[in-house]
Amino acid sequence: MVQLVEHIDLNEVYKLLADTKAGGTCVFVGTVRNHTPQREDAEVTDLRFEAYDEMALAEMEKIRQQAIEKWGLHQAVIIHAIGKKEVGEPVVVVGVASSHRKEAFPACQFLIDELKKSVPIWKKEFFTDSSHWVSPTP
Amino acid sequence: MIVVKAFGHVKEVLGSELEVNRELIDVKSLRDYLGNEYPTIVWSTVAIAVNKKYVQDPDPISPGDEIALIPPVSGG
Repeated sequence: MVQLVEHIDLNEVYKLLADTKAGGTCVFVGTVRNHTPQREDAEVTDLRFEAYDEMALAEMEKIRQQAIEKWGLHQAVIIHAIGKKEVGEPVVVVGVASSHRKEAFPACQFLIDELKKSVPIWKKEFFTDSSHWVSPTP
Repeated sequence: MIVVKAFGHVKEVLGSELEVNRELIDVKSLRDYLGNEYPTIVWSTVAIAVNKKYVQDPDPISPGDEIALIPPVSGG
C-alpha cells in the first residue's frame, strides 16, 4: 500500500500491516520538528509539502516492491502527507511486517532512505519571519 | 508545443505549467532551452521526468509526452 494523504492515521497503518504470517512489525514515523540546522536563530512554525502525485506514487510503489522482494516481506506500507503540517505532526510513515525482526529493521530503513532519494515530494520550511524550500539531507 | 510541469523552487520561477513553443527532440534540447530562458536556476541540480520516469539527456521527447522538472526532492 502506498498513499499520499492529508492526514496520517497511525492506527490505520498498523491495520494495513497486520498479517498472520508476520512475527515482527517495524514502523518509522517522521514528524515535523521545531528546529533546523540551516537556521539556528529561528524556530520552525510549520512545513508545507507538495508532490508530483502520480509520479510520487509510482516511485513509492517501485521502492515498496524492491523491499518486498529483497527481504521477503509479508506487508509493506509507505504513506506521505501533503499540505500544511504543524510541529509534532506525522508527515511520513513507512512500515513492514516480516516473519522475523532481522528483516524488519533494515527493510524499514531502506523504505525511508529510498523515499528521501527519489520520490518527487518537496517541503518548504516556514519560520516566524521567512520561508524556504528545503535541500535534501543525507 | 509541449507543456512542462514544474515543482518546488522551479515552480516559483516558471509557474506550475510552462508552454514551450518550439520543437524539442530530446531531453538535452529541453535543458538547453531552459538554461537560456531561465539562467538564474541551477539546472544541473534539476532532474527531468518524461511520462513519470526519470530520464537522461540523450533520451527522446515525443509530442504528447508528460514532461516534469524535478528539483532536488525533500520528502520525509
